[in-house]
Amino acid sequence: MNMPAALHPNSKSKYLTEAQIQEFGARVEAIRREVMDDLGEIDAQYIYKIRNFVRYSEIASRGMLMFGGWIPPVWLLGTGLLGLSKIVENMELGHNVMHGQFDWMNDPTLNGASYDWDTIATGDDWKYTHNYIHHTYTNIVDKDHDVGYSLLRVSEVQKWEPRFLMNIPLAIQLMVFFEWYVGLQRLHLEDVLVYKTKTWKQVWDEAAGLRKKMRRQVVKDYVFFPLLAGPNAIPVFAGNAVANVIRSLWASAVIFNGHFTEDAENFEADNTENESRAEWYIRQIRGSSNFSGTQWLHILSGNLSHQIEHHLFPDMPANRYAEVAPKIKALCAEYGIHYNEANFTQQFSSVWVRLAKCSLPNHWQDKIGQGSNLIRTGLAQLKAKFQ
Amino acid sequence: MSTSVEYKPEWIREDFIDFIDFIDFIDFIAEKINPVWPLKKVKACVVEIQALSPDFYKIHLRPNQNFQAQRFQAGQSILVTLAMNGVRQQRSYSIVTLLDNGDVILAIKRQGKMSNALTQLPAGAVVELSQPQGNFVLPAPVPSLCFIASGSGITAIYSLLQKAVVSSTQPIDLLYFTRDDAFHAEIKTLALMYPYFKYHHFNTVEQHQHLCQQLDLSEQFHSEYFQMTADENLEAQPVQFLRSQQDFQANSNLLDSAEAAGLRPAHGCRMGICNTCSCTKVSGSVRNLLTGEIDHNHNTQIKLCVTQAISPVVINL
Repeated sequence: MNMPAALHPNSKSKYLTEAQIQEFGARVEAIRREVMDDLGEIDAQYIYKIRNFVRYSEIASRGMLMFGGWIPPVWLLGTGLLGLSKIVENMELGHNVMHGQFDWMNDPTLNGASYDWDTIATGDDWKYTHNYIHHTYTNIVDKDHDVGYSLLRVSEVQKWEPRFLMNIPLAIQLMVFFEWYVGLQRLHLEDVLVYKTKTWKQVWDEAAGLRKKMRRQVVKDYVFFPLLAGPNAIPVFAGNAVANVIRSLWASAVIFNGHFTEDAENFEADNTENESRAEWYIRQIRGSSNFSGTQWLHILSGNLSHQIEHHLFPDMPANRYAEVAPKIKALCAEYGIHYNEANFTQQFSSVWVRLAKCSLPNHWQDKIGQGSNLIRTGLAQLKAKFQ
Repeated sequence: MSTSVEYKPEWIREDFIDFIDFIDFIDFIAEKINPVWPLKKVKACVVEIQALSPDFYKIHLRPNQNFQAQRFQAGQSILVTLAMNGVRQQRSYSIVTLLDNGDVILAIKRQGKMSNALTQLPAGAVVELSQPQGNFVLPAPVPSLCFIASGSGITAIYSLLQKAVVSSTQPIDLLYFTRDDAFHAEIKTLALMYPYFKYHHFNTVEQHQHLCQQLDLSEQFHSEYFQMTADENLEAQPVQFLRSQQDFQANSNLLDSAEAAGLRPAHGCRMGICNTCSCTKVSGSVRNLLTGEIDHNHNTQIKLCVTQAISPVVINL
């Protein structure tokens, strides 16, 4: 047996026998099959509705900025709406369509292979770094580049380097410029900047597609629409810039919540080729975390609020995750697998605690742990004395 | 890993987010107002549907201005697209006649979901069409010809026949095996009008007969199939879809096998025409069911519906 997850000492999941693992896998498969056989009109209508929202909200927001951008309340409304439109386009439309979730509709405009989204990253790069690398090697340190993006230290399994002392400020600027980082992710700039295993020449050659996409995005938001607005060029420029940052902040928050939360486990590199389907399912569950909320929160997060279900079934239309989530949760409870779920704020604050802890080497953490314990017991003793 | 070098942004995607795609934006709005208004898509209204027999229907379609009627050659077909239960289904049908005003006449036999739905459309319903396509056409100059058709296969043949009788005075023979006599009257009229055209009609219900044909089927023989079969004697092969993280066993064509495993890859005509199911084969050996060609190369484009795996295969889907 090669459970990829020699259970981490802190894991909240129970040890399962090989037979139990296979049985669990088969039951997950059955849940998937039931939904996939049922796809049809409702799902098609759903994604068309989402796309219409993206289109109409973009027309409305760009219109507001173009014609009324100089009036502060209109600027605020237009910028907010454009940010919202970009969020829904990236999360619920682009991300999900590019997973091939709606390929079965045979609509070439919603085909995962050809769809390209409104962000810096090219569809092709994204499908490589995200759909392939991240979804296959989920949370395996040194294999899944999403484990800290080689910028942050998010797991004790990752080797500590002095640069990780800057974990928190680096994470904050990562959030602000998230779309740019995602765009550059496939180039592995850390190999040039930190590890010196790559040259700038190689980066330039690999970035041909990305340069085209960057040019298009920059021209669109910062040249074309401002120029089109004539005298309103400055408010349009500013509105577009802020909308892009709003989208980056939100997208990164959702993604941090999916894998960097307190109980989301990381795994050591091992031979995933020998991992069975069932073991892969279990790794996906243990490495992901959900957050609860209203239907709107789910739509805005591209249903990545159901990160666990998304990782089990990346090609299932995301509007179905809410329906399978209770079934997966019940199954996890039955087999003693920890189902990591909390509200948005709880998950997000645990991300920052984790980032702070990981900025220090593991043995320092222990010392700090001991230190804080000492202080705590000391305080308790003091309290006891004065009572 | 450096496939990104070949990346081209999708300028032509249907998304007005890009100002370049202004036409697409206009199409989106136009289509919301009236479904046959788009500037790029070929949309057609159903004018009339007429029964030729209890299960064989003549469909009269009026395409919008985007249909290139002048490109049509007798014998060609069009892909008809219709959304059913959220899925855009696509089938190829031979054009029986193209009227002078550009209207298209199809004849469709009810035999599956798509043909059932198409033949039950109300007048005024809108479907999407492709441009005329296919190379089952008359050679030039038109030689002496012998057509053999059975059942609904008469549609393409009738189209060729109409063209052939006016294109040359070489002898033409038609052997038509039919249960329902669709187009029988029209063909009989042609036979009366053109003495060099000999019509051999066999109603297979009335004349339950066995026929031995002494025909020279050499390279002179052109045929059109709308079906092909996988070699079922081959061993099932493991197939992996990379992006959707799915593995399955394939013993028929890859599309059928994937569907049997509960996957729903994008597809269209299911006969290697429309290219909807085309995708990149990352590794492994496959056989093209249409051409018999074997492909061992890495990162080649294949169409799932006409491809059979002959070794373990990895596909970028």
